[in-house]
Amino acid sequence: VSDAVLRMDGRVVHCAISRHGARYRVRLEGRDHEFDLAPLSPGLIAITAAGRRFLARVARLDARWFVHIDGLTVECEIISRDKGQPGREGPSDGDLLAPMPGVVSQVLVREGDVVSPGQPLVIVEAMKMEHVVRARRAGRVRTVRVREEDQVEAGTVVADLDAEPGTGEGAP
Amino acid sequence: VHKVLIANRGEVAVRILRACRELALPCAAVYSEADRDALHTRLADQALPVGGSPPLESYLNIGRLIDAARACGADTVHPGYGFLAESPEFAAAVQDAGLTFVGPPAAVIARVGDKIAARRLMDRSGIPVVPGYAEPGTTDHALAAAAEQIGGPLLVKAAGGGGGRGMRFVEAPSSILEALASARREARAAFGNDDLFLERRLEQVRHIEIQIAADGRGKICHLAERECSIQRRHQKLVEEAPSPFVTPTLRGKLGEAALAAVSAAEYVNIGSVEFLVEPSGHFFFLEINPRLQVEHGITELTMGVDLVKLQLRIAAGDSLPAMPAEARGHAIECRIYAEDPGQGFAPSPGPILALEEPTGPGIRVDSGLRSGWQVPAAYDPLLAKVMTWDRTRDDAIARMGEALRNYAILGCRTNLGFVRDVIRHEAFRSGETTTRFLERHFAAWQPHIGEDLLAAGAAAVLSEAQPSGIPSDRSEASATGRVAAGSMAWDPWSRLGRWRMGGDRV
Repeated sequence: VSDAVLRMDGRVVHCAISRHGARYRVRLEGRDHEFDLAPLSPGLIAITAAGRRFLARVARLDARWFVHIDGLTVECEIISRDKGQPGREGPSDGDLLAPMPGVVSQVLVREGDVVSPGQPLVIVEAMKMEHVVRARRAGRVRTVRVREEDQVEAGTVVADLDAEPGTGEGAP
Repeated sequence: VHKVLIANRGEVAVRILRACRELALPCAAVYSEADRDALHTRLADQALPVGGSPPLESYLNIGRLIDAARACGADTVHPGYGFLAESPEFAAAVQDAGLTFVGPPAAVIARVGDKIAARRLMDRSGIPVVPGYAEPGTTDHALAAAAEQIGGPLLVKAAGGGGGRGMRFVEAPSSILEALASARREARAAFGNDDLFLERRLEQVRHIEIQIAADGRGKICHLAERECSIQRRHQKLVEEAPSPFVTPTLRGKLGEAALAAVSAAEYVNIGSVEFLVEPSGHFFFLEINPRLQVEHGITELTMGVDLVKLQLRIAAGDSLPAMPAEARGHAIECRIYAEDPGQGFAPSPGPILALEEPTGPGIRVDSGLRSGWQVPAAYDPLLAKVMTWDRTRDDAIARMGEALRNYAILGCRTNLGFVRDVIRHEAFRSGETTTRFLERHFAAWQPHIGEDLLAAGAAAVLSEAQPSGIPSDRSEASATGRVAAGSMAWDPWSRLGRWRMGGDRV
């Protein structure tokens, strides 16, 4: 369970989110809401609730988030959130994951390389399709965890990045 | 007419340049410093800077606009609406520079622009005007005496007026002096003319206007009505054509009166004649708008006429083509403003972080927006107009509801949620549209977002915000079993968006 405190449209909202695959349960102000949530592309999320599907659009301006669902726009600010339960830490912002099961066809960086946002790092091939794993922000490659011809599972960490001092954080 | 300078900005500039393209006319845009990256600046064949962000330095600067027209070799100037569209000085300056003004001659603009003179002209021509008192150059004393005779409630209006400026509501004639003083101040500042007149405030009226066209060679016609009753602070918000109130008989009478008004004013090019219509069907002349109207698109949808191209053709000296006799289906327009309806409609300029505009059969969006643009604070907050057309009014309303639902503008506050509530309101659906509609039904409106949507919104934001996503349950991780160490409890499919699938080979 992940807890967060948000300011949504001017009011402070406490919510606890638990997730089972795509199924989300959000306890908001003491009431449970359940829906399926699937990110489609950056800033675009499909939400299915009670048999109806909505496309949520999310955009960020510094600390302000804007989300548009079902014709309504909500402004939102994250006041606090925990990172989930200890010992089950997911990959950090600098980790780069294989998007699907496949074979690493190319490794394009070495440890210590400085990379810029969007720069291709590793190419994973499956079903005659190539999937490029790109740096999400500027940084320095700490470790490359795969070699060419490696089989990878979906979600395998292929490399980690350290933030490069002075290069600045890219927008997520 | 060989090349058109569009002396305006935003969605109307984009609308005009589309018409120019369709007529294979080269078009040049003008832009202020605030509009360097605006959509109209980008889309035109050519864009000329005309000065600083304040309108007086750019879009209201007659000298700079004429210079721009000369510099780019334009022989025609389209003023759009707002800014200088109703300025006889601008029309005269364009004519004096040897260029063609897309609109009526300066003398006609002046004739209909003076509301007192226009009202008196219509009165003399036998067109009913709102009961009141309108004489040029009257003193406060004379107006106060007239107010006692007419009785309250009253509206004080400015001869140079428009957009609600210089307008005051007076409940009882005894309290009129204060209203006159402040209306005069506002009118002097806005129009350089502090002449005032009085009209009885009519209750339960509708605002209905007739679209007209005249080619200056003796041919005039009307293109039926638009109803524009849903207004706030005398600014229109929702318009429709045809009016749910107007019967064929009333339409005939309104059309006749509009054509009589056009003849009396010796009008040329397209324009609109505005009327107030009482529940009894009695109507009164309000004013002539000597320009393209913001809401022209709904007439285009129902009558199948392109009014901007018609303006350009009349300006080029063409005679009026044959016009359709009656409207087909029903069209509605909602104006989308950068304003916060939850905070008294306060303007809300800001960046456009993300933009998704509705499309589909029967949906038209006239917009000046683009993603990544900054809505300037210097101008009118009108961002776009959503129009829908369908066979029946109910269908057009349903289509509008869906179009508004699918309009996503992220980064600045808009009235999208407000207008959606307006068109879904029972009183609107049943056609009870009077100029008091918003006052009566939406005075205490506040945005309402259900808890289920808040919950979904919170989850959507957090899943975007947390680069590692929201952890899935432990049970699922152990159930899948084959997830390698170091990537456990990880659902990559929830994060697909972070990558470009099948992206360019490096």
